[in-house]
Amino acid sequence: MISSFVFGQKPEVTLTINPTDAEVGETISITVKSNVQGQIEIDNLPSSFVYGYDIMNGMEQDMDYNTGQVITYYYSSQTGAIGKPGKYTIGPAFVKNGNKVYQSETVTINIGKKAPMSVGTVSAQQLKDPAFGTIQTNKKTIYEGEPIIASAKVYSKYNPTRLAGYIPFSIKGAIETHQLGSQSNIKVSQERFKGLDLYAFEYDRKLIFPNGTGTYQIEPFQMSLFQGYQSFPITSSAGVVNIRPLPANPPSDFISGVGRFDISRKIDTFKIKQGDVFKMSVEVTGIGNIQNTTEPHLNLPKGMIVYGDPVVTENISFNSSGADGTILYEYNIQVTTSGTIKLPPATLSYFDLNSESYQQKSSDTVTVVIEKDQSYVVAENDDTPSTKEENIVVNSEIRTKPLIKSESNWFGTPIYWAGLGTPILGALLFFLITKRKEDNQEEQVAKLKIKEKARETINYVSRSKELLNQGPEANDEFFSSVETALKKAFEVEMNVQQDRILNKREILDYVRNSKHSELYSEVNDLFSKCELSRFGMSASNDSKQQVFEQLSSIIKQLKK
Amino acid sequence: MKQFVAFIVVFLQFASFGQNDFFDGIKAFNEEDYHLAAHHFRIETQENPNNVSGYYNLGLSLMEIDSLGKAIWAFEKVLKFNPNDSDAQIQLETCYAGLETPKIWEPSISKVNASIYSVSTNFWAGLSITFSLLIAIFIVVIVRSNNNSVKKMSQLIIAVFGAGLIFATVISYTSSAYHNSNNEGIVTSEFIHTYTKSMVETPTTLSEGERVTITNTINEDFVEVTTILGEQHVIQKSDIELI
Repeated sequence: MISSFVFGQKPEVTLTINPTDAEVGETISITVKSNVQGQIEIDNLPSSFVYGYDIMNGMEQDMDYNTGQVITYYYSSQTGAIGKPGKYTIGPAFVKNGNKVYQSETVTINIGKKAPMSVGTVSAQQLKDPAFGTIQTNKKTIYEGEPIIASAKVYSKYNPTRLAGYIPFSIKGAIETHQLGSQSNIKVSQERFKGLDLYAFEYDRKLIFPNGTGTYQIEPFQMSLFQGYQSFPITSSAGVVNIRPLPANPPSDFISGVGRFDISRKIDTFKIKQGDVFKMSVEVTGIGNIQNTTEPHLNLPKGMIVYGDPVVTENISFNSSGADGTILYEYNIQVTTSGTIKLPPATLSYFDLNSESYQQKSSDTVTVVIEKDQSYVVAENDDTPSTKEENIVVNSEIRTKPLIKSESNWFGTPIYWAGLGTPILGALLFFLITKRKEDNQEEQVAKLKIKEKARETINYVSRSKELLNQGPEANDEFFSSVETALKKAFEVEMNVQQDRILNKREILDYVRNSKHSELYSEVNDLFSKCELSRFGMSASNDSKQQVFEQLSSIIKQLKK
Repeated sequence: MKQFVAFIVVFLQFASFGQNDFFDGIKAFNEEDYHLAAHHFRIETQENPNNVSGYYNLGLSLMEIDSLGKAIWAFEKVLKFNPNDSDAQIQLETCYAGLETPKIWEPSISKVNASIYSVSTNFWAGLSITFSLLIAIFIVVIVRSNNNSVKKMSQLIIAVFGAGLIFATVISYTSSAYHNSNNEGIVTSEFIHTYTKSMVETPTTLSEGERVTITNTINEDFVEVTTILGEQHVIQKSDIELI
């Protein structure tokens, strides 16, 4: 219980919160007590504070034995619970009397996470009894050094009004137990347990730090549970907890800590005279079993000696997460050497429950300058423990060789950009030229092909002319030559580069859709005549002359 | 041949002439005449502004005569050339620890940047040109090759080298910007006054060893600076030494 008192002239206001270490949802009681009657207000109540139904207002009288005066105290008490874990500073409480306002100091409370509890074994006989008890714990198996939360859980078939003759549960060899929460506030609720609707409450919640390893029995608790004047004696079932040893070969700077820890270091000066003493503060912060940890490793370099024992200041609270707080070690360090010394980090190792492995934490590295004192005599046997490395790190050696760094920085100069751009641009240019060359070559080949076809057209026309005046035996050859000449002429016109002969359909389609559409009937007629000749239709020289002229006319028109 | 030897001798004489102060400084330092050593190294760094050893030795000499602000400036100059110079870093820690108001030295750039900037800007510039050349070679391979798998492989290589080219160019740029920047300075006096923009002295002072960045030039004599903590002040330009 933490109380804060504010003394004015005479008026006195006290803000009390009980307990100051609780867990989420646990009932806490806030009491304001004053020797001044007035309107009470409490500042900085957390937003997650849920008001309970228990409100008590009253007065009491006390005797001041120094003056013999009777002092009347007025008090107001309110219960409630906080819904979020964290550290809260509540208050001050104000008492308003007329135009005057009196205030208390603030109170800080720690709210831990709710520890999930599992109920212990319950026998069939117990379930038949009007009331029975069991021991519930937050874990069944823990590591050596890890705390366990245990509490008495009572179930009854009737609504209990009070309990008496409580003999608490215990663990053999437990080195330390801390009460969690208040024993005066018992919250009875209705629960369904193993198919039965029962009244239930939790009592005597403890944080236990067991000693040793192995399987330990939690001895049963006893109590008498009353309803009115009738009571029923209860002896709970026993609980069991298994304590596992920590992994072998812990680090050399292991501080016996199990949980989560950190370390920081401060020194009161960075400049000191040889032989003088400076103050080094090492703070160990942690949650777990911080109260049972040993000193961290200072890793002092050669030439630094711890002078006397450290002053140890502990600020530890116990909640459902374990022992939570800080231990401050203040060392006096005597310096026997001189120069600039880099202090290696102070370290600690602990067993981390989340990763189930040893973890190391280090403070920062600090450099101190130690002025040489000619009159200081170093002890011959300076057996100060030293780290493996030599810690006097300053290399005061003067540099005997000039080291000239190049002045010319050619990034961003035209030479740089030219060097960067030329290869890529050159390669791209090469790519374009090659591509163009390839394209030109293909074009040339195509042109030659067309030229060749034009020459063939002329040849077929000439051949047709030769066959024009020959006898009927040359008719087939004449018409074939005319047809081929016509096709070749269209191959040239249609720029057909491939080695293939166009058919009549392709040519007529082209003619129909080209600028030479007026030639359509003429071309079609010429093809028909050639086809007819192939089917043995005789042709006179006049008609052959007409066909030849038709061919010449079409070719002439195409050339236009 | 005789003429060539004579030329070499004359050349070496001239070459060593510029470093007389450097060696005189070493001699004075070894004789524990630190004021004289600092004087010689100061001249050396003025004549050869890229002599890193000159700045380092100047810093050591200034430390010996308790001129810690100026020593901090000298070691910061060393770090400007080579941000990974561990000796200079240790000396800086020592200097800051030894100031009237001891401080813990913090490097101004991250370890990654320090490693990158320790390599010459010209190296990164050369690397980017090398990537450019390699890209060009593989473009030619793509044009000349008739094999599709070779073409595809070349395209992949060009993509990788392209990324390398961009990386090396960006690093060259940042490295060049770091080495060419001259807007950072160190307060070398025990404390210096600060002023309002209308040149009225304020009660705030900056202490020895404070690192500041010039953000604005007010006039020939006054500049606006920002401290590491982000505070803005107007100070006299002559009160700081530029790194």
